[in-house]
Amino acid sequence: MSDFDVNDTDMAPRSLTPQDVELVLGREVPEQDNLARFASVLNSLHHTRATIPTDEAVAAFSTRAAEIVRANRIHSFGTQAPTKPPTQAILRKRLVGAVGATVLLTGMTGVAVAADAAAPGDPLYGLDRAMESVGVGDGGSPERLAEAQSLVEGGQLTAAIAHAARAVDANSGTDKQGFSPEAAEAVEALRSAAERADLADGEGDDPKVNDSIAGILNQIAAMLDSGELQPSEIGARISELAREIGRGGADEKANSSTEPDPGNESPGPPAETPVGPPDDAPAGASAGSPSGPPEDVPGAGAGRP
Amino acid sequence: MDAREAEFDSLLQAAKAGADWAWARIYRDLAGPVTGYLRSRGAKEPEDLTSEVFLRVAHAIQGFTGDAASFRSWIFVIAHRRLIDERRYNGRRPLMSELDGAERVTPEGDVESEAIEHLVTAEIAEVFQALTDSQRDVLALRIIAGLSIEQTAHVMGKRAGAIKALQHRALGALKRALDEENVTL
Repeated sequence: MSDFDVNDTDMAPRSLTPQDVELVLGREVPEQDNLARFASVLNSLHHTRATIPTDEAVAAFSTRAAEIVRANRIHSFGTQAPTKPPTQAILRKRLVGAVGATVLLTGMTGVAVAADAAAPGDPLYGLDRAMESVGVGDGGSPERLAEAQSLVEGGQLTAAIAHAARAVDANSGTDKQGFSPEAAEAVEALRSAAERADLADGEGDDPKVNDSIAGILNQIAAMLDSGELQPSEIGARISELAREIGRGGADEKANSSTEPDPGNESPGPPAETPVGPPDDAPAGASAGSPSGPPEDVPGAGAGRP
Repeated sequence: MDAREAEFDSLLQAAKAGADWAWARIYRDLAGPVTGYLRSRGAKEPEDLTSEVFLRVAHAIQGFTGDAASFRSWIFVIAHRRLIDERRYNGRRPLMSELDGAERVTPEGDVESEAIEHLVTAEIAEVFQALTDSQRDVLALRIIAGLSIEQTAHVMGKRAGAIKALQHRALGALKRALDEENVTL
């Protein structure tokens, strides 16, 4: 008796044994007539589903992918400045991953992302924008977010967050751009945190808020690394953590209003900034594939040699 | 390391170095199964989603370590999660109706075979509707994507034993339905 004959549902097979299953899914045609027919049906399913990419599609993708890889390699080499202390380099790497994940969670639809790497302030940025004006480079939100990533790689974390937030602002309501409500909410929360410290104009970066945002992104990156969080859940988590900053800032502002200090015009971040997930972490953080690796950690798990 | 793995290792290193030919080969080998998997699982625009998957692969390739089998399953992990993201974003359940209207590729291009295959595929599509989402995922990953039990388990985040059980029940249901309809090739 097959292992599957006992206590199965009404879907339970009555004629297939595990050996039969291996046969019909195998490369060789089974000898039994009924299994051979069944294997042929399954094989036809494979042929009708698996399309063959055209030569043009292959050429277009390979060119694009090679550009992305080369651009990423240049970025990687460019950020390995010898004057940076190791801990800062590690943090920066995690932040790059986290902001990359933020970019990812916005649901980009496969348009230009990394090839046009010039960020605001770079000599090539003007050229980049000029190309966008004639339709080259697709200067939509994905590109703005990619620029934000470039800013992070350059160590301008808070400016990057503000830049990413502006990308969302500029495209609110543009469904095709792929921004989920969750993503928009998340970046909006970060934008609020950034504005509170006058970060939007790139001046007056507050180191405490910097640390807060860095903490958030660092935490998100760590959770992605561990598989505890899936990309689709990042938005909600960022939003939650960012609100903690906002609440802390509001509390501090309320306190400062009762004890005015004319000498301190900066709104400032909370004294104790939550950088880790709260105790009541959403259940979704561990949903999905707990034993599988996050996609940003390729080769992990069973596939790692 | 055998010759096949050595060849994959060379391919991977070339892809990491940004060689066009390496990416062309990766895309030519794997884009078809990925598109087929996404289409069979109800992706709204499977070709676009496939492009997203492979662009993500290009962005993340520097961090990949593993052999050819793990590379294939890694790509399907990304595809599977992109599919889930799309479903969440669109707020809909996976459909199998795309089985009827999707682009078809038959190696021989024989009209009679295509007609028979279409009938069979329609039958399969009907039976698929009665399966659970997990059973459909397993069959799509095993048959269309060509993944092993272990790779399918990796993609779906389940144990191999659970995949075997899902697969067995799904195939049993398919075969019974086809036997009852007396569908033959």
